[in-house]
Amino acid sequence: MKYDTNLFLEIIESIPGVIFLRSNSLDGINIRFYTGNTGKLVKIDCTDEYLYDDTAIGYLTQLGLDDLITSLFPTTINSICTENPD
Amino acid sequence: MNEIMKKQPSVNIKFEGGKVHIFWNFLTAAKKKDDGGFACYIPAFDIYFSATDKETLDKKSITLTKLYFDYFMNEPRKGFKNLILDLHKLGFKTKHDAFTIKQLLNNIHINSKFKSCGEIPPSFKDALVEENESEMAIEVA
Repeated sequence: MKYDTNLFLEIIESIPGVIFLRSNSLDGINIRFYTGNTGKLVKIDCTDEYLYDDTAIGYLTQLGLDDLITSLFPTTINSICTENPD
Repeated sequence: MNEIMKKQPSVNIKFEGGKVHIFWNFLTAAKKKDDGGFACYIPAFDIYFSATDKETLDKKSITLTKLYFDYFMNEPRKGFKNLILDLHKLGFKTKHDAFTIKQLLNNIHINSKFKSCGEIPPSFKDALVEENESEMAIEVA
């Protein structure tokens, strides 16, 4: 499944604690840099109109927004839990 | 399960001719999706991305890591120091790590090679894994 990139960016940028640092592009590839609740530098590829669920979930984990993963991707999380019941 | 031996991810820093030359190699893990695209991850640099096809996957692998280094190296004052600190945070270590880090943070230009374990996470255990490398050179103050 895919998620709209611009919508995803709007959502994360509305979360307190998520800070947009800078954007850049090279050879048609666009990137935005953020920090979140984990202290990591999060590098978000915003080149394409859509992101795969896995990619978006990766970004949310890096930003420390685990609660949002469950809200935005309940189906994906359920299938992961089914595959890995532990 | 991918049992093929891959090169350990590394970042090689050399000071030469008034420039800092950075060479890096890394692994990209890519999960094939039903529509033919790929959900991808570069463990050493902790970069997730999506790709519509193999050609885009290969291009983004290189370009996104270049943009990562560019983020630091084009910051006029503290860019290089912040890069060293971030590489360390990502898990890159060098021989005589504490000494080397201290030298670099104090603007002492010593050539260094950082290595990372860059493990493929369980969520990408059955993914296609490929090696990539790139380089850049920037003038140092």
